[in-house]
Amino acid sequence: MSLTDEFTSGQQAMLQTTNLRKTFDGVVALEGLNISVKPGETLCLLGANGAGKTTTINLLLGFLEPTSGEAFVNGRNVAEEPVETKRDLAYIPEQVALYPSLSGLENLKYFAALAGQDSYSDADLYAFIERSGLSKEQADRSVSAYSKGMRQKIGVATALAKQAKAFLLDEPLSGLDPSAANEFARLAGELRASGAAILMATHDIFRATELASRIGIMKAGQLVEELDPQALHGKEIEAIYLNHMRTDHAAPAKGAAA
Amino acid sequence: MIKAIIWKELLQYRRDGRILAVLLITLALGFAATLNSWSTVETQQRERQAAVASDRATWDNQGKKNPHSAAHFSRYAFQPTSSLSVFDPGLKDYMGSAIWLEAHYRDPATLRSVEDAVEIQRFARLTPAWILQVFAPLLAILLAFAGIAAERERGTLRQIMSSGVPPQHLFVGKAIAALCIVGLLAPSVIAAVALAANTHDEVGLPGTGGRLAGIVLSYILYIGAFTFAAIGISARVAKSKTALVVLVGFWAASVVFVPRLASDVGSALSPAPSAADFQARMSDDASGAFWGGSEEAQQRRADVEANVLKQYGVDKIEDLPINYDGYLLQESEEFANGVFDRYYDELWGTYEAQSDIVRLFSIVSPTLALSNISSALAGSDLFAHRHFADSAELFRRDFVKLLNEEMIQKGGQDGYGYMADNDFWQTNPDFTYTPPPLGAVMSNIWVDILVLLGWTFAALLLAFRGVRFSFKQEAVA
Repeated sequence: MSLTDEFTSGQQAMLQTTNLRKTFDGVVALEGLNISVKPGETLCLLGANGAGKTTTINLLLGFLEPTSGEAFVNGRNVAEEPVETKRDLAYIPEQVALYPSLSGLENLKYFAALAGQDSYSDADLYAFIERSGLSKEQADRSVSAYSKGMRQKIGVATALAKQAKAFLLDEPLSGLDPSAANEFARLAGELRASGAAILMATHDIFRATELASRIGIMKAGQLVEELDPQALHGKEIEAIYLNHMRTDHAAPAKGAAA
Repeated sequence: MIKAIIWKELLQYRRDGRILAVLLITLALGFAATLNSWSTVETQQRERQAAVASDRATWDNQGKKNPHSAAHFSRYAFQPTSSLSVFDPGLKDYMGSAIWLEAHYRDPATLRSVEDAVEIQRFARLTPAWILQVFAPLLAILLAFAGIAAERERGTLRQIMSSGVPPQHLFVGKAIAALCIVGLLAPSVIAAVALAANTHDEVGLPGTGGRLAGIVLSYILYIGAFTFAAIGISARVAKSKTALVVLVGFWAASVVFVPRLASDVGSALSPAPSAADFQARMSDDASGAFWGGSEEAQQRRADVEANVLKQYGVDKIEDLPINYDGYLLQESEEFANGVFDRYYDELWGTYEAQSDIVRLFSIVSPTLALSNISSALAGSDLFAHRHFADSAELFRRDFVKLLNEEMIQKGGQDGYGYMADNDFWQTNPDFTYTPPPLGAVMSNIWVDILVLLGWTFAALLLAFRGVRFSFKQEAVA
């Protein structure tokens, strides 16, 4: 029994892929991927650029159509119900994109409304922002002066406001200073503790070890190994990962960035 | 969802000083154009009313005069002004507003406002229609050129997509927001309509409400076409700057270059005769061929004489119970009228051929289609002018006939020595003008309406497909 099977037994997976395959002009970006993330669980996907991490996220977001196989969010097939499945999802990319002429609060209000949450009062929205680690004063400032970490926090506040059940984090820690990365890791831990299912694509073995319930190593579009960070020491995980990377000479597939 | 998109777009517009500046400038120009146009129409109406009264008084009090001399002294048909010409004066300034109604001649319209204008006004008179045709699409472009491209550049398109926003919702939200801002130009249009309503409608255009609704609808379609095209192009190109360059190029072509080119090509392919040459040839054929010394002219007059003698059963002109000079004059009019019809049909045909050529260019310039619709509904296009000119000509023929009949019936043997007096002049009718019904106007501009609808639909399709395309592109980026 794999780790995925073990974790998914007895509880419905919030994020799941079955034999998911994606090719771009005949080039394989993802091959027979089977993953499952339950509520309260964090699955970190580690892998080199082109390993298929972002392609996996794009397929779960419904941005891409699978060549074969299926992706599910909260039991719904993404390809069949693209709008409904997005309601349960929050997506936080490496660079949280915001409107510079709007304040943090206004950006939050907008993205929450796009996700169907348009009945929040300003007090509710401030509460989400404060929960994500920004002050009211910062929320009222134009985001043109925001640091990357502050943008990430607005991204988290948006996810909170959206009341998402599952989070797709695409290299969220990349480029953050240590303090901001710690803050983000704290928020991710809180989200997980509150029952959210988190799928995080990252290069950062240290943070993956710290945050993940499970670590999946991806190589050339395939999940080559699943690890339990609770059962292994950080050094051991690093050694296993680097061993996989040393033997990975596959060229990055088109459209399968990160 | 769409409401949120509109809210965010409007918030961004409000904080963009460039948009505010362009909007205020356009609005100021719109108000200035409205006041200028209203003032011009008011002046024209005042002058026309004064001229009509003066013409009537002069005619009524010309004293004892032979009716044929009076027919040369004659009167004017002044073109009345529609209240809608406050909004769009169309070709009025170029076509002339008064026609001299004299015997033996069909004169062209004179008193063209453009002759009194300074050079800069010849380029473009400031009118509400012109402001909307030129500046409203530019404003729409400025509002929408970055619509999708900037979202992509900023990375927010991906965020929007992850929120489950369908592409068509994004398009609708952005289009409505941009159109709301362009709609802020409405006060200047409302001012134009209010001032137009306050202006005496001398023409009494049939179906004014329908015409106004048609004008409003056609401008909405026109501005919609530019807005949709801007969003569509923005969705197709990689950078918002590229979208701006493409769209401003399209605007310049549609608004400035193509109309000029179309006009020049129209004139080159269907050249109108010079006024002097046209009048000289027509006069020669109408008057010379009847009154001249040629064998043909002499024969024509001899035939008239033979016919009238036969009709009254007499041998000599002196025995006729009517005045023969008056009779001959009326016969010459009947002959000339046929010549005038031939010449003017040809002239109008030339103008219409030019219009058709210009209309062909509306396939690449929605501005041409709109300006045709706008001036037609405002009663200030070529068709309206022709209708007026033809009505004036019919009146001239009846009026000259009335004067000739006076001489025929009462001239006796005095002929040109017969004098009518003020009692007669004062019974003569005035020229009254009834413009064509709305149906006739519509039948003249249905091609323009179809072209404008085509433009709007094509732009809508471009935008819909463009936004969907941009979603797909972003998904694999």
